[in-house]
Amino acid sequence: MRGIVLVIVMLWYAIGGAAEKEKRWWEKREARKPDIYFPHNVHMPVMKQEGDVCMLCHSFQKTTETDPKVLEALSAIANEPLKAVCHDCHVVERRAPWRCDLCHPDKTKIWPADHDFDYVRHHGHAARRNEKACRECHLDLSYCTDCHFRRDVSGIGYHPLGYITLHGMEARTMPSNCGRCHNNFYCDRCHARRR
Amino acid sequence: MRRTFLLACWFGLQAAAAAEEKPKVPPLHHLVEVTVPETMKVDPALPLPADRKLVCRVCHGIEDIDKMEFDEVDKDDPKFLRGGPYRRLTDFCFRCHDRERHRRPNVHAMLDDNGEIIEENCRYCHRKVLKRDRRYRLDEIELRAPVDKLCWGCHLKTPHLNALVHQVKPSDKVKEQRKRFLAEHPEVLLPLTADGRVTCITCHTPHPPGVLDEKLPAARQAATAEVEEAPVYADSPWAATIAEDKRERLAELSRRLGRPLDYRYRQIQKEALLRLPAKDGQLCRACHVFDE
Repeated sequence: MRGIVLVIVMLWYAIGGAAEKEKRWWEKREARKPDIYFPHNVHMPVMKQEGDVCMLCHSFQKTTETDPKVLEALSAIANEPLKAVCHDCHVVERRAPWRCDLCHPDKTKIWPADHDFDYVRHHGHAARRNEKACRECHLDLSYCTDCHFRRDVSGIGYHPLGYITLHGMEARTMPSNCGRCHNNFYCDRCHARRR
Repeated sequence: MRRTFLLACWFGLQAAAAAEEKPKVPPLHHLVEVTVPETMKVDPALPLPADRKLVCRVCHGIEDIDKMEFDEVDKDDPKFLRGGPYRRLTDFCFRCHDRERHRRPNVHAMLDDNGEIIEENCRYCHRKVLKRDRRYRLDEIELRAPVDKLCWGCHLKTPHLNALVHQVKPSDKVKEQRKRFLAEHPEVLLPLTADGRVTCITCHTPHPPGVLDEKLPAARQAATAEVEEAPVYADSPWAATIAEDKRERLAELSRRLGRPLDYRYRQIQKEALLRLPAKDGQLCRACHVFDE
């Protein structure tokens, strides 16, 4: 009986090990970076202009390395373009669309930790302190002016007119949305008064 | 009977002791304890004894290496080979052996100045010279070694990045796409090994233009460079950006390995001996397609 259990355990590990072994670098990448959207097809004509369609990102350069483990690690690095390569066109030179959410559908994955909660109330101080840091992501000035120069609504202009009558609904269904800009004290300013 | 047994034991012990004295060397190790001929110019920095006998310490700088088990020897120690570390093992060999005399011929250059076949070059890989205008099956071309191992006689198994990750059975998605591509392009060959693995000749053709009848799919290729010069790389305006992209990860890998790693992006300019052009992505896209 003990032997059968041992064989089952060994088989389990063998199958598990084989499954792990079959994982290629791109599968591991997909697990690590599920939030990055990269449409290959639209990049191909652009890459052709740059001189290498596939090999600019997925290098087939000569190598004298022979150790499979080193090569695996090196190939993963060579194959996996990260921020510097993507941002060269999309951010630095802006030859490509520079809307963050085109490639980062979930912006909460890339924004700084201080953006998580109540940041709208503090962003003014941060912007005055280091505007350059804001511009690392907010490339378009309209990101600021869309709110600050808006004249068709009262207040800071983030919510549509009449939102005060509807806000309770959203606060109940998606309280984290409110939390991005407001803290409890903001709610209490009105709600505590009524209690 | 007892005496014979005791004698056998004694000889056995003697043989074991003798075996222990002689250092174990791996297969393919250079000959040891041979006399280096006077005609050979040995690098004076290597301590060749007066009797010119090639002993361990001539090449190896690790103390008492001859008393160590092969597995115990640290091959990454710079002293493992005197004057090391060496980027290529052959750089050490050429401290004694004449580099020029040991240069291998490029057997892929199969045509002489008159455009005639150099049959000697065919025989490096084929047991006999085949007809240039006939279509053969892979099992008919009488290769000297299995198709997936033949190239390793001269080339590394890993001559370029991504070579190793390709030498596998393709996924179902890739298999389907390859099948679709070949059905649409019967003028192209992308051969796999007998058991369905990608190998060197899946992407590379060993024969330059003019060797096989150009109507044959095996003759189909991308050749923008001469065999002797290809591949031709050039500096790229992307080099600095790509270096920055890889800098941190390479430094981390170098730290882990304890040695520097080199990676410099250079753009391919001219290619040869490829079944389809790789520079414009045609070769890759024969097997790799994307939904978006």
